[in-house]
Amino acid sequence: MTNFDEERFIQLTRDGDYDAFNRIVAEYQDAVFAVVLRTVRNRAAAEDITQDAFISAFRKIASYRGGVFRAWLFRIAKNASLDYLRKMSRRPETSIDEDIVYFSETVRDDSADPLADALNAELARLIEDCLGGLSDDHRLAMVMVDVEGYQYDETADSIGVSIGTIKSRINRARARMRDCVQQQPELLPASMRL
Amino acid sequence: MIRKFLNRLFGRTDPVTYAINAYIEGNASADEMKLVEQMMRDDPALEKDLATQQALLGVLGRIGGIEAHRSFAITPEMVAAAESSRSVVSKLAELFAPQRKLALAPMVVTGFAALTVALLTIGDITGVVEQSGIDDDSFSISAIAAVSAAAPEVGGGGIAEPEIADETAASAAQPAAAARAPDSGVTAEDSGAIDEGQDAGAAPTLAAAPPQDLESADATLEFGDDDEVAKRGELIPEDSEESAVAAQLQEAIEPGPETESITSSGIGSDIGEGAGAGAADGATAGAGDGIELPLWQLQIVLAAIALAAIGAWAGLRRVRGE
Repeated sequence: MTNFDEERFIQLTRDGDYDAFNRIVAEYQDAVFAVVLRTVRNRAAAEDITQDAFISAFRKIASYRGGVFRAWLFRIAKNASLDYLRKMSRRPETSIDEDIVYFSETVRDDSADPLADALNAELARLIEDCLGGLSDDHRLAMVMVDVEGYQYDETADSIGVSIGTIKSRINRARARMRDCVQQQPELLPASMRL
Repeated sequence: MIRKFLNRLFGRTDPVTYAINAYIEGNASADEMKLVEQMMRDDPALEKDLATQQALLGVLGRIGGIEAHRSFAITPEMVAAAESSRSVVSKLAELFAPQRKLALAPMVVTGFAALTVALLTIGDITGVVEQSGIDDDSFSISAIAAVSAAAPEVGGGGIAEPEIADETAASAAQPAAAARAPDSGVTAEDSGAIDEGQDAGAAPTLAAAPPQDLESADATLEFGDDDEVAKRGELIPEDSEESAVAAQLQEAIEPGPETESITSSGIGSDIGEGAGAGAADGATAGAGDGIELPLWQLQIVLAAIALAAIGAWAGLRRVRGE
């Protein structure tokens, strides 16, 4: 991060410098890929979408007019992700559940208790299922704010809506997630049981 | 409900939503805390509900980051392949993709065009708007024909205007003259009666005629050389009845800006012009004094725009594979 001069790399990219742009790619590819993967829930598709998003960003770099560059990248990736989900939803013969990416081993717990680990894995799977049950807009907002930890303003900028809309989506998404996870109370920590 | 709709429209969130979000995230301000505590007092179940959401947020925050197991670095070949694989249509399709702001453009264009066609049709039926454009030619033909048909009878001896009163114009004038006849109670052959009939029919028409009509009438009156004008002067009706008619007509055309330049020699022609204008008025103003527009042309163009927008929308959906 210390050697990453974003402004300079953007300027060099405008001049057609691939190496400079690939420095940007290296800086943001994990973040972009994570959001795309958690939005489309299909690893192969997420890789294609992420790759296309970076190619598209390189080609459209002239249209970047300042602001948070990462949010601009997310916006391109978000559009591609929603395009993919829309196409999938209109093809009932293709089920995205066939290649679901679970959050297995991702609910971090420092305890060395195997039972706790197993419960965490189950909980991760439950959360993944519940996230998958949200609408695309709500899921994207929740992934960016609650999972990836981005601020409301950057999320709003990335998705292309107002902060108020993001807060509203987050509020509804949390309420639906709460209802969803309550259906399997045995997996929940005591603090989450009503 | 309305408040929520307006908030949604203007991108604002209900203060309660802000407060609850902030409370769950643990960064509520004093006012927000006060609001949430008040809500929890009103609804005791809310406290447990919000605690659950806080715990859920904690679990979501513990979800580990995802790492890409490959590099997404790009190469010139990748960009070139992407450039070549993307046709103009697919670029357009992407531009109008549902999540983009232009997505509603085809629908808006279609709606606007359809609404305008509907309004034009309603306006046509109610007489607010009228067809114009191509009728101008027929207007002038009938007017000229009426001049040629009416002028000889007014003048008693008739003014020969072979350059205007050709056979076509004369035949066109007959229906116009006949159309006026029932009102005036005269026949085309009855010159004496026509004087009165034309007077009755023409004067209001001239009074109602816009200035440009009078200007064009002037233009037709000023043709010919001085000798011809002088010759016409001899054709002025001399009996008092006809003079009275002429005076009334002169009075009727007073509002026009250039009517003072009309000589008595032109009055006979003027009467004919009035008759012609009256006939034309019957054709155009019969439906009412609406705004003149090229109605059917507009309707066809707008309908074509609406159909094109619908077609484009469907085509772009197909290109996007939806």
